[in-house]
Amino acid sequence: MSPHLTDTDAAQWIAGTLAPPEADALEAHARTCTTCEALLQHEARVEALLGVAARQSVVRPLRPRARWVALPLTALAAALALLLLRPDLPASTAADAGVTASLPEVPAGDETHFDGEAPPPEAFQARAPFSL
Amino acid sequence: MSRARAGDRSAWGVLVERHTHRVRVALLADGLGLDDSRELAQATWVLLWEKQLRGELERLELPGLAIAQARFLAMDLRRRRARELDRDDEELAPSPAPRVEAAQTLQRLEAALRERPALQQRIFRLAVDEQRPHAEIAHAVGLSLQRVRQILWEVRRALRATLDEPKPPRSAALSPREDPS
Repeated sequence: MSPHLTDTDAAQWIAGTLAPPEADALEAHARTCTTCEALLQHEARVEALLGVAARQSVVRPLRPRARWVALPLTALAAALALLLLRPDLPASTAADAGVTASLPEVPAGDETHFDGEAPPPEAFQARAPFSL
Repeated sequence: MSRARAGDRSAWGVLVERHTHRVRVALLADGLGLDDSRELAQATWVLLWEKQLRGELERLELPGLAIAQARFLAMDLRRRRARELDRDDEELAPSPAPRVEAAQTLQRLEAALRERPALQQRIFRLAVDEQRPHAEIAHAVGLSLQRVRQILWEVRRALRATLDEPKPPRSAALSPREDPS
Protein backbone atom coordinates (compact mmCIF):
# COMPACT_ATOMS: atom_id res chain seq x y z
CA MET A 1 0.00 0.00 0.00
CA SER A 2 1.55 3.33 -1.02
CA PRO A 3 1.49 6.17 1.50
CA HIS A 4 -0.80 9.16 1.27
CA LEU A 5 0.37 12.25 -0.57
CA THR A 6 1.81 15.01 1.57
CA ASP A 7 0.83 18.63 0.96
CA THR A 8 4.21 19.12 -0.68
CA ASP A 9 3.69 16.11 -2.95
CA ALA A 10 0.34 17.45 -4.05
CA ALA A 11 1.60 20.97 -4.61
CA GLN A 12 4.55 19.71 -6.63
CA TRP A 13 2.37 17.41 -8.71
CA ILE A 14 0.03 20.29 -9.49
CA ALA A 15 2.92 22.64 -10.28
CA GLY A 16 4.32 20.01 -12.64
CA THR A 17 7.75 20.13 -11.04
CA LEU A 18 8.10 16.38 -10.36
CA ALA A 19 10.03 13.99 -12.54
CA PRO A 20 7.64 11.89 -14.67
CA PRO A 21 8.15 8.58 -12.80
CA GLU A 22 7.50 10.26 -9.47
CA ALA A 23 4.49 12.16 -10.80
CA ASP A 24 3.06 8.96 -12.26
CA ALA A 25 3.51 7.11 -8.97
CA LEU A 26 1.72 9.82 -7.01
CA GLU A 27 -1.10 9.91 -9.52
CA ALA A 28 -1.43 6.13 -9.46
CA HIS A 29 -1.98 6.30 -5.72
CA ALA A 30 -4.38 9.26 -5.89
CA ARG A 31 -6.51 7.49 -8.49
CA THR A 32 -7.28 4.80 -5.94
CA CYS A 33 -7.59 7.10 -2.93
CA THR A 34 -10.39 9.64 -2.65
CA THR A 35 -8.59 11.48 0.14
CA CYS A 36 -5.52 12.15 -1.97
CA GLU A 37 -7.58 12.88 -5.05
CA ALA A 38 -9.45 15.49 -3.02
CA LEU A 39 -6.13 16.91 -1.89
CA LEU A 40 -5.02 17.26 -5.51
CA GLN A 41 -8.32 18.97 -6.36
CA HIS A 42 -7.77 21.34 -3.46
CA GLU A 43 -4.24 22.10 -4.63
CA ALA A 44 -5.52 22.63 -8.17
CA ARG A 45 -8.00 25.21 -6.89
CA VAL A 46 -5.21 26.95 -4.98
CA GLU A 47 -3.09 26.96 -8.13
CA ALA A 48 -5.97 28.44 -10.11
CA LEU A 49 -6.35 31.19 -7.52
CA LEU A 50 -2.63 31.89 -7.62
CA GLY A 51 -2.81 32.18 -11.39
CA VAL A 52 -5.62 34.72 -11.24
CA ALA A 53 -3.83 36.63 -8.49
CA ALA A 54 -0.66 36.74 -10.58
CA ARG A 55 -2.62 38.09 -13.54
CA GLN A 56 -4.60 40.66 -11.59
CA SER A 57 -1.82 41.98 -9.40
CA VAL A 58 0.16 43.28 -12.35
CA VAL A 59 0.56 47.03 -12.09
CA ARG A 60 2.06 47.92 -15.41
CA PRO A 61 4.24 51.03 -15.17
CA LEU A 62 3.55 53.82 -17.65
CA ARG A 63 5.96 53.99 -20.51
CA PRO A 64 8.11 57.16 -20.52
CA ARG A 65 6.21 58.63 -23.44
CA ALA A 66 2.87 57.85 -21.81
CA ARG A 67 3.95 59.80 -18.73
CA TRP A 68 4.53 62.92 -20.83
CA VAL A 69 1.05 62.59 -22.27
CA ALA A 70 -0.71 61.52 -19.08
CA LEU A 71 0.27 64.52 -16.96
CA PRO A 72 -1.11 67.28 -19.23
CA LEU A 73 -4.19 65.20 -19.95
CA THR A 74 -4.87 64.77 -16.26
CA ALA A 75 -4.48 68.52 -15.70
CA LEU A 76 -6.77 69.26 -18.64
CA ALA A 77 -9.39 66.82 -17.37
CA ALA A 78 -9.27 68.39 -13.91
CA ALA A 79 -9.64 71.88 -15.37
CA LEU A 80 -12.60 70.85 -17.50
CA ALA A 81 -14.25 69.15 -14.54
CA LEU A 82 -13.88 72.34 -12.50
CA LEU A 83 -15.34 74.40 -15.33
CA LEU A 84 -18.36 72.16 -15.63
CA LEU A 85 -19.01 72.02 -11.90
CA ARG A 86 -18.92 75.77 -11.25
CA PRO A 87 -22.56 76.83 -10.77
CA ASP A 88 -21.82 80.50 -11.49
CA LEU A 89 -20.25 79.81 -14.84
CA PRO A 90 -22.19 81.17 -17.84
CA ALA A 91 -22.99 78.57 -20.45
CA SER A 92 -21.17 80.61 -23.09
CA THR A 93 -17.92 80.28 -21.15
CA ALA A 94 -18.24 76.56 -21.13
CA ALA A 95 -18.93 76.65 -24.85
CA ASP A 96 -15.88 78.85 -25.38
CA ALA A 97 -13.83 76.27 -23.57
CA GLY A 98 -14.97 73.74 -26.14
CA VAL A 99 -16.62 71.43 -23.69
CA THR A 100 -20.28 71.68 -24.65
CA ALA A 101 -20.06 68.65 -26.85
CA SER A 102 -19.63 66.57 -23.74
CA LEU A 103 -22.65 67.98 -21.92
CA PRO A 104 -25.73 65.83 -21.62
CA GLU A 105 -28.52 66.81 -24.00
CA VAL A 106 -31.42 68.66 -22.42
CA PRO A 107 -34.82 68.42 -24.12
CA ALA A 108 -36.49 71.71 -25.12
CA GLY A 109 -38.85 73.05 -22.45
CA ASP A 110 -37.26 71.00 -19.75
CA GLU A 111 -37.40 73.08 -16.55
CA THR A 112 -34.24 71.55 -15.24
CA HIS A 113 -32.00 72.75 -18.05
CA PHE A 114 -28.91 74.75 -17.23
CA ASP A 115 -29.73 78.43 -17.90
CA GLY A 116 -26.49 79.95 -16.74
CA GLU A 117 -27.99 81.47 -13.60
CA ALA A 118 -29.54 78.65 -11.66
CA PRO A 119 -27.25 75.93 -10.31
CA PRO A 120 -27.19 72.84 -12.46
CA PRO A 121 -29.35 69.97 -11.28
CA GLU A 122 -27.74 67.31 -9.14
CA ALA A 123 -27.87 64.70 -11.83
CA PHE A 124 -26.00 67.01 -14.16
CA GLN A 125 -23.38 67.75 -11.52
CA ALA A 126 -22.85 64.11 -10.95
CA ARG A 127 -22.62 63.17 -14.60
CA ALA A 128 -20.61 66.02 -16.03
CA PRO A 129 -17.10 64.99 -14.92
CA PHE A 130 -17.59 61.47 -16.19
CA SER A 131 -18.56 62.59 -19.67
CA LEU A 132 -15.16 64.03 -20.38
CA MET B 1 2.68 27.10 -32.72
CA SER B 2 2.63 28.18 -36.38
CA ARG B 3 3.84 24.73 -37.46
CA ALA B 4 1.05 23.14 -35.46
CA ARG B 5 -1.49 25.45 -37.09
CA ALA B 6 -0.11 24.42 -40.46
CA GLY B 7 -0.96 20.81 -39.60
CA ASP B 8 2.47 19.55 -38.52
CA ARG B 9 1.62 16.51 -36.42
CA SER B 10 4.91 16.45 -34.50
CA ALA B 11 4.59 20.13 -33.61
CA TRP B 12 1.08 19.39 -32.44
CA GLY B 13 2.45 16.57 -30.29
CA VAL B 14 4.86 18.96 -28.61
CA LEU B 15 2.02 21.30 -27.74
CA VAL B 16 -0.07 18.45 -26.35
CA GLU B 17 2.81 17.28 -24.19
CA ARG B 18 3.50 20.77 -22.96
CA HIS B 19 -0.06 21.79 -22.07
CA THR B 20 -1.92 18.62 -21.12
CA HIS B 21 -0.97 18.83 -17.47
CA ARG B 22 -2.24 22.41 -17.28
CA VAL B 23 -5.54 21.37 -18.84
CA ARG B 24 -5.90 18.54 -16.34
CA VAL B 25 -5.14 20.82 -13.40
CA ALA B 26 -7.85 23.22 -14.59
CA LEU B 27 -10.33 20.36 -14.69
CA LEU B 28 -9.28 19.15 -11.23
CA ALA B 29 -9.80 22.66 -9.93
CA ASP B 30 -13.32 22.50 -11.32
CA GLY B 31 -13.94 19.40 -9.24
CA LEU B 32 -13.37 16.63 -11.76
CA GLY B 33 -11.51 13.49 -10.75
CA LEU B 34 -8.15 12.33 -12.04
CA ASP B 35 -9.62 9.76 -14.42
CA ASP B 36 -12.14 12.21 -15.86
CA SER B 37 -9.48 14.89 -16.22
CA ARG B 38 -7.25 12.52 -18.16
CA GLU B 39 -10.01 11.38 -20.50
CA LEU B 40 -11.37 14.87 -21.09
CA ALA B 41 -7.92 16.27 -21.75
CA GLN B 42 -7.37 13.61 -24.41
CA ALA B 43 -10.79 14.26 -25.90
CA THR B 44 -10.00 17.96 -25.95
CA TRP B 45 -6.86 17.50 -28.03
CA VAL B 46 -8.67 15.21 -30.44
CA LEU B 47 -11.40 17.81 -30.89
CA LEU B 48 -8.92 20.62 -31.41
CA TRP B 49 -6.93 18.54 -33.90
CA GLU B 50 -10.11 17.80 -35.86
CA LYS B 51 -11.06 21.47 -35.82
CA GLN B 52 -7.59 22.28 -37.05
CA LEU B 53 -7.92 19.83 -39.94
CA ARG B 54 -11.27 21.37 -40.91
CA GLY B 55 -9.69 24.82 -40.82
CA GLU B 56 -11.97 25.95 -38.01
CA LEU B 57 -9.23 27.17 -35.68
CA GLU B 58 -8.69 30.86 -36.26
CA ARG B 59 -6.25 31.13 -33.39
CA LEU B 60 -4.31 28.59 -31.38
CA GLU B 61 -3.79 30.27 -28.04
CA LEU B 62 -2.65 27.66 -25.59
CA PRO B 63 -3.31 26.53 -22.99
CA GLY B 64 -6.33 28.89 -22.82
CA LEU B 65 -8.11 27.44 -25.84
CA ALA B 66 -7.61 23.86 -24.67
CA ILE B 67 -8.77 24.67 -21.15
CA ALA B 68 -11.91 26.38 -22.47
CA GLN B 69 -12.65 23.40 -24.72
CA ALA B 70 -12.02 20.96 -21.86
CA ARG B 71 -14.36 22.89 -19.57
CA PHE B 72 -17.04 22.73 -22.22
CA LEU B 73 -16.64 18.96 -22.38
CA ALA B 74 -16.68 18.79 -18.58
CA MET B 75 -19.95 20.69 -18.45
CA ASP B 76 -21.39 18.27 -20.97
CA LEU B 77 -20.18 15.33 -18.90
CA ARG B 78 -21.75 16.76 -15.75
CA ARG B 79 -25.07 17.27 -17.52
CA ARG B 80 -25.07 13.72 -18.78
CA ARG B 81 -24.33 12.39 -15.32
CA ALA B 82 -26.96 14.62 -13.78
CA ARG B 83 -29.52 13.24 -16.22
CA GLU B 84 -28.46 9.71 -15.34
CA LEU B 85 -28.94 10.49 -11.67
CA ASP B 86 -32.18 12.32 -12.46
CA ARG B 87 -30.91 15.56 -10.92
CA ASP B 88 -31.68 19.07 -11.97
CA ASP B 89 -28.87 20.98 -13.71
CA GLU B 90 -29.45 23.85 -11.29
CA GLU B 91 -28.30 21.64 -8.45
CA LEU B 92 -24.90 21.55 -10.11
CA ALA B 93 -24.61 25.30 -10.52
CA PRO B 94 -22.23 26.92 -8.03
CA SER B 95 -23.84 29.18 -5.44
CA PRO B 96 -22.81 32.85 -5.28
CA ALA B 97 -21.33 32.52 -1.76
CA PRO B 98 -18.12 30.74 -2.81
CA ARG B 99 -17.62 33.36 -5.52
CA VAL B 100 -17.63 36.16 -2.96
CA GLU B 101 -15.27 34.16 -0.80
CA ALA B 102 -12.99 33.57 -3.78
CA ALA B 103 -12.96 37.30 -4.57
CA GLN B 104 -11.85 38.10 -1.02
CA THR B 105 -9.21 35.40 -1.14
CA LEU B 106 -7.96 36.81 -4.41
CA GLN B 107 -7.56 40.25 -2.91
CA ARG B 108 -5.45 38.80 -0.11
CA LEU B 109 -3.34 36.86 -2.57
CA GLU B 110 -2.78 39.88 -4.79
CA ALA B 111 -1.71 41.95 -1.80
CA ALA B 112 0.64 39.20 -0.63
CA LEU B 113 2.15 38.89 -4.08
CA ARG B 114 2.77 42.63 -4.32
CA GLU B 115 4.73 42.41 -1.07
CA ARG B 116 7.27 40.06 -2.62
CA PRO B 117 10.48 41.44 -4.18
CA ALA B 118 10.05 42.54 -7.80
CA LEU B 119 12.18 39.73 -9.21
CA GLN B 120 10.15 37.11 -7.36
CA GLN B 121 6.92 38.66 -8.65
CA ARG B 122 8.25 38.59 -12.18
CA ILE B 123 9.36 34.97 -11.99
CA PHE B 124 6.06 33.95 -10.45
CA ARG B 125 4.03 35.68 -13.15
CA LEU B 126 6.12 34.20 -15.92
CA ALA B 127 5.54 30.73 -14.49
CA VAL B 128 1.97 30.90 -13.29
CA ASP B 129 0.33 33.48 -15.51
CA GLU B 130 2.28 33.13 -18.76
CA GLN B 131 2.95 29.42 -18.23
CA ARG B 132 6.53 29.73 -19.41
CA PRO B 133 8.78 26.69 -18.84
CA HIS B 134 11.10 27.07 -15.87
CA ALA B 135 14.22 26.76 -18.03
CA GLU B 136 13.00 29.60 -20.24
CA ILE B 137 12.34 31.75 -17.17
CA ALA B 138 15.82 31.01 -15.82
CA HIS B 139 17.31 32.17 -19.10
CA ALA B 140 15.12 35.28 -19.19
CA VAL B 141 16.02 36.44 -15.68
CA GLY B 142 19.63 35.25 -15.69
CA LEU B 143 19.36 32.78 -12.80
CA SER B 144 19.97 29.08 -12.54
CA LEU B 145 17.07 26.71 -13.08
CA GLN B 146 17.42 25.49 -9.51
CA ARG B 147 17.24 29.04 -8.14
CA VAL B 148 14.15 29.81 -10.21
CA ARG B 149 12.42 26.71 -8.86
CA GLN B 150 13.46 27.64 -5.35
CA ILE B 151 12.03 31.13 -5.75
CA LEU B 152 8.80 29.77 -7.18
CA TRP B 153 8.51 27.46 -4.22
CA GLU B 154 9.13 30.31 -1.77
CA VAL B 155 6.54 32.55 -3.41
CA ARG B 156 3.99 29.77 -3.50
CA ARG B 157 4.60 29.01 0.16
CA ALA B 158 4.23 32.67 1.11
CA LEU B 159 1.02 33.05 -0.87
CA ARG B 160 -0.42 29.85 0.45
CA ALA B 161 0.17 31.08 3.98
CA THR B 162 -2.38 33.80 3.28
CA LEU B 163 -5.02 31.27 2.39
CA ASP B 164 -7.26 30.00 5.10
CA GLU B 165 -9.31 27.75 2.86
CA PRO B 166 -10.04 24.56 4.76
CA LYS B 167 -8.28 21.53 3.41
CA PRO B 168 -10.07 18.28 2.76
CA PRO B 169 -10.05 16.06 5.84
CA ARG B 170 -7.36 13.45 6.02
CA SER B 171 -8.20 9.87 6.84
CA ALA B 172 -5.79 7.43 8.38
CA ALA B 173 -6.37 4.71 5.85
CA LEU B 174 -6.87 4.61 2.13
CA SER B 175 -10.44 5.48 1.29
CA PRO B 176 -12.31 3.36 -1.20
CA ARG B 177 -13.43 5.30 -4.23
CA GLU B 178 -17.07 6.28 -4.29
CA ASP B 179 -19.21 4.48 -6.72
CA PRO B 180 -20.95 7.15 -8.83
CA SER B 181 -23.93 4.92 -9.35
